[in-house]
Amino acid sequence: MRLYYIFILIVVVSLFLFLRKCVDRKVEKVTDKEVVREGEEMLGTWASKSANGYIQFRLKRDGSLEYVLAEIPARDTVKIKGSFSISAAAGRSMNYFPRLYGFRENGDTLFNFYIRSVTPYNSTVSKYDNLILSPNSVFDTIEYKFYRIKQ
Amino acid sequence: MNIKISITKAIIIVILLSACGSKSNKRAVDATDLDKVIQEEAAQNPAGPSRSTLSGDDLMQLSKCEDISCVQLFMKERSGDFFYTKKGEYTSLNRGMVTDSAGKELMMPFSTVYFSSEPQATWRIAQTVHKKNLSDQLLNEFMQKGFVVVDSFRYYATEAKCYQYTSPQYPRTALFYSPTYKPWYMKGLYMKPSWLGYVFEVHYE
Repeated sequence: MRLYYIFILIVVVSLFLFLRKCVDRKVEKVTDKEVVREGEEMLGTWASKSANGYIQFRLKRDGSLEYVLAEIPARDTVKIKGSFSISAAAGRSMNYFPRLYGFRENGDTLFNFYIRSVTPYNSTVSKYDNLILSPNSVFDTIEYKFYRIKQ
Repeated sequence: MNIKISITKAIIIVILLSACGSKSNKRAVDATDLDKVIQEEAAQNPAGPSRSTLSGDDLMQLSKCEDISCVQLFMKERSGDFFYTKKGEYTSLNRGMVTDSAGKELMMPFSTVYFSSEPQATWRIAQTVHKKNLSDQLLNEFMQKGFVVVDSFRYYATEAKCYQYTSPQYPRTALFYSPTYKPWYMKGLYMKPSWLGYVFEVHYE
């Protein structure tokens, strides 16, 4: 009898997750916004601003990328469409050396950064979601902080 | 039958609500508030190092030190910019990209400060700067204080050509400037540098 209830629980949870996923995808399609869940914290729109300019990029679920760069005080805004991938540095483990690669539509590399950290889904520490990128994985060196932007 | 329909509706409502309730999405920032958020977080974080090298005044003041405790006290006041590496060495907290002679980019502290700590050594203070623009900036600072080249020679401490500068405004002070690929007196973080370092050694006599 106990096994039966455990089985029912597993079925209900699986059904809930499946239906939630279906609804998430539908919501994403209708609103054109990424609904981020556990394990997909990288997805969505990220932006950073400094005295020199504003950078924003959107990592979509289908692997496509939208990149916007506005330099200050220039008025032109560069908009680039392409794709992105997250993979380990050559010969390194994905757990320790994940890198974010952005590519233009013609295949040229737009950026290539080490992912220093991203706010976990269940974080109760951060008020805002951050993505910290760095040119290399050397501790205590240059890093760029991006914030999740409301789409 | 009605109960079953009600339960199904409730489940659908729960799913719809949870679909809209992504925790990550709730922690998103409005693009228009980005400036405010960045400023808010910067105000909470402790201030980082504000400079990459000691100034000309600092080096001249350090050169007047007669013992290690004087140097340690002087550098303690600058602990926001430099950290104590080991006896006789301080390293700048400001780090960045330095390009070596092969064009390879290396991440390293922008400068290191050395002093002779051996009991029998002639008292010396030197700063090695790892970036040309910072070196030019520091050399300009000395030039603005009236320092001019009075001599040049091959210096055994850097195994390179060294330029001696003096200034009528600072009669007992001499600057020895030497761009080199060797560490000053074989001291330092890097024993075989592949990039050009700029040694500023200041003597007070």
